[in-house]
Amino acid sequence: MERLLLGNEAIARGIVESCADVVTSYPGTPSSEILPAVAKFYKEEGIDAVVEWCVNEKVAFEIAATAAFAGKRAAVSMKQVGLNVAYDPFMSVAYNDLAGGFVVISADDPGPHSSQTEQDSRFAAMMAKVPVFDPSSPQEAKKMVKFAFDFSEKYAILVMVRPGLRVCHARQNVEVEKIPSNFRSGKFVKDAERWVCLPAIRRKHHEKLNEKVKSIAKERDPFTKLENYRKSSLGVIASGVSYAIVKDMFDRYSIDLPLLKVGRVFPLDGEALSEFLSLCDEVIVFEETYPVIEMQLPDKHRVLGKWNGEVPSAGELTPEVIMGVLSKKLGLKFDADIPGYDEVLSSIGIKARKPILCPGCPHRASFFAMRKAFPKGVYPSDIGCYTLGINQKAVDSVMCMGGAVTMGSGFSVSLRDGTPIVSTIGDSTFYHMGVPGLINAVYNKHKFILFILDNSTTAMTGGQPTPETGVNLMKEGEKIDLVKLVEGCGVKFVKVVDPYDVSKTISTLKEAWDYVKREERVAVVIAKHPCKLIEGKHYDKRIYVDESLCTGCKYCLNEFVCPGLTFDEDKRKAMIDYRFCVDCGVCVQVCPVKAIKEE
Amino acid sequence: MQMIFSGIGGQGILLATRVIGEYALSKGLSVIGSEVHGMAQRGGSVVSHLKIGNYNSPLVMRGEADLLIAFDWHEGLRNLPFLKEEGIALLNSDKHSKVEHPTIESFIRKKRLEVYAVDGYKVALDQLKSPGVLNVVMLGKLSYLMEERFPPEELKNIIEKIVSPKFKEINLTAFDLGRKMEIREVI
Repeated sequence: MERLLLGNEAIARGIVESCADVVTSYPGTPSSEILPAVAKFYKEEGIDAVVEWCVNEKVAFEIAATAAFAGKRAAVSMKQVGLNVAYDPFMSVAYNDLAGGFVVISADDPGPHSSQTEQDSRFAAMMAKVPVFDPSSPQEAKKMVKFAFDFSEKYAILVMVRPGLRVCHARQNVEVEKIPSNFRSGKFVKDAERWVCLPAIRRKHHEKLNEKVKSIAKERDPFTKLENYRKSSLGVIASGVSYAIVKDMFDRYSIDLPLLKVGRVFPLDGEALSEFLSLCDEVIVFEETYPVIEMQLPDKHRVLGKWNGEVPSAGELTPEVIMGVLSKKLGLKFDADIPGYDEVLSSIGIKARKPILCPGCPHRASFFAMRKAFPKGVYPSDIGCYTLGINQKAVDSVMCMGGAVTMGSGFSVSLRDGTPIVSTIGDSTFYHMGVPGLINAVYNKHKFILFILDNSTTAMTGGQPTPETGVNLMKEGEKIDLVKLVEGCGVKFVKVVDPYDVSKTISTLKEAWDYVKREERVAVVIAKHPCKLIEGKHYDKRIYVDESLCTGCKYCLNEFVCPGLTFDEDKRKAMIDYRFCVDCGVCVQVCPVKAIKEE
Repeated sequence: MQMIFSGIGGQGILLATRVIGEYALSKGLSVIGSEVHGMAQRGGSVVSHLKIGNYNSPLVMRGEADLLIAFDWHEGLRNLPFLKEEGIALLNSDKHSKVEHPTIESFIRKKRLEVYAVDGYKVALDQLKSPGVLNVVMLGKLSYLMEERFPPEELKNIIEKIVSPKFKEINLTAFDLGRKMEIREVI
């Protein structure tokens, strides 16, 4: 039967049809939809499996890897920067002769659309010396995942499947097959030489890994195909969605060049590559985002790619970009730009809208209070919806998951002039990687406020549960008490406020800073209010602007920055945009002349 | 057929795209498209691509789309260059909406685009008090504009299947009202 599946659902389907029944993840765009789909497919068939959201990617990776130590088929999914978090076990497990099948899905974000880098996971696979497959569509992603499990078991090696965002978030008709009942039973065979990563043993493991890679390179790859077989002065090599785009462009513009579609990016299918290179004088390489195939090609002088600037080295390879490169080389007439059109749009103020916190978002209230309490503060922040606090001028630096806590420490040891330092971090990100930084801040007596914006969910990635809720995909878990956790880290000042109460939040933050100055220790304030997308309800009273009081000062628009507030240029007054307003009422507390009112 | 859905994150673009995709699949056609999830969804500009027929990649190239459906006037104008010659656009608008520049106007004429405007929020917000059903209001009008391609009863069947039962009623009402709402050609 065919179903219209998101790429991530197709990947999940590949996982369940492979009978992998230990599957773990931490959410991150563009990978977030994989794990819930695995749980959904197993539940549909009444199959009991372990499908767990974990606190971070390292934890998730290690649990799944251990299942493969114990002979199970296991998978772990994450986004590309999540792989950075899991790098330690990833590099280590690459050396292991696994007992079961283990597939890592690391989803890349060329662009980037929702990430701090557009790094290429295929490079990471190459560095770990493990095979990596690069699907070009949801249909192929499902097939590749199934193949990857067999491959992993055949070579007793960890295998990566690397979908790009345009595969993860593509939707396509995908053939769905029955889930076979071929689940492996867990059995751990003790063997210290195999499972303990002692330095003395690791050299032998490394040699064995090298042998595996060598044999894999000689094996033909079913996902690497030579198309339009003929001799030519020019050929094209492409992988991932770039291959799909090249195919569409060949059809659209009747281009007839030899094309090598690469599925297994490392190690490359040596035979297919040699044959292709013997057909073409020069080759153009289209791949996202780093030159991983390109680097493995023997003679660079015949390669038109990222190394010589023929193909862009940053950003997505969109159809426009790919066609731009091809048309230049082939002398075709092509111009996707309408001369002057975009300039005209920006001249009349029509621009792409930037993402913004949702109306009613509790973070907006927290940020407003924080800036009121410390107008001259320094505000390190973190990865999540609240990064969008940049629109409220409440985010001064963001590094990586958990970085707000440690940047608080870093600023604390660097700025000795009494500048208030307030680090903001979400609850999910705090559990993910904030906790070690907080223990370190207590240990070293760093002086800043950690302002935990607790909306009880992982909001940016679509509302996955956090340890605080105890909720998980297949079964109910244990709830973690955030206040006790913070206290357990050794923090002596912990207060919880509802950020919708703006004045209380301001006074609590000021009290916290007094404590930091007096005791020379870190203080924690938790702003607790559920995510508006989860809470979902309108409040009883409609909000309106009393036009007789509004002075048109735009304080609400500039300082609060809410989609529910807009400006009537004719009347020169603020007004409520009822298309977006959810009547949260926080702006009532924001207006300096009390012109915003509840009905 | 290649389509672009555009608007602002939160306007229900994914659902609208999915309805059309599921409908095409129910007719036995191949479907591939590209959605936006994650940060870009939070109130920012959102473009969703859908290609029905024999295609490999999920992305529509500028100048190739047969149809543009925009839930927001400015997002519609911004994305007109996705349309090919004689392409059709259905844009949500309000009484203030106008083609604000001669360059845009001449672009529409030169490419012989059919650009239609409707006031979808008049139905979704003023009549139904549910701004969230704007997407289905727009689908209703699409089924009026291209009735043979997108028969209303069949789209409604799909909507019934994929929206949560709690919102079934209001979505079907929104579809019918959207189908009947006023429409004008922009130029």
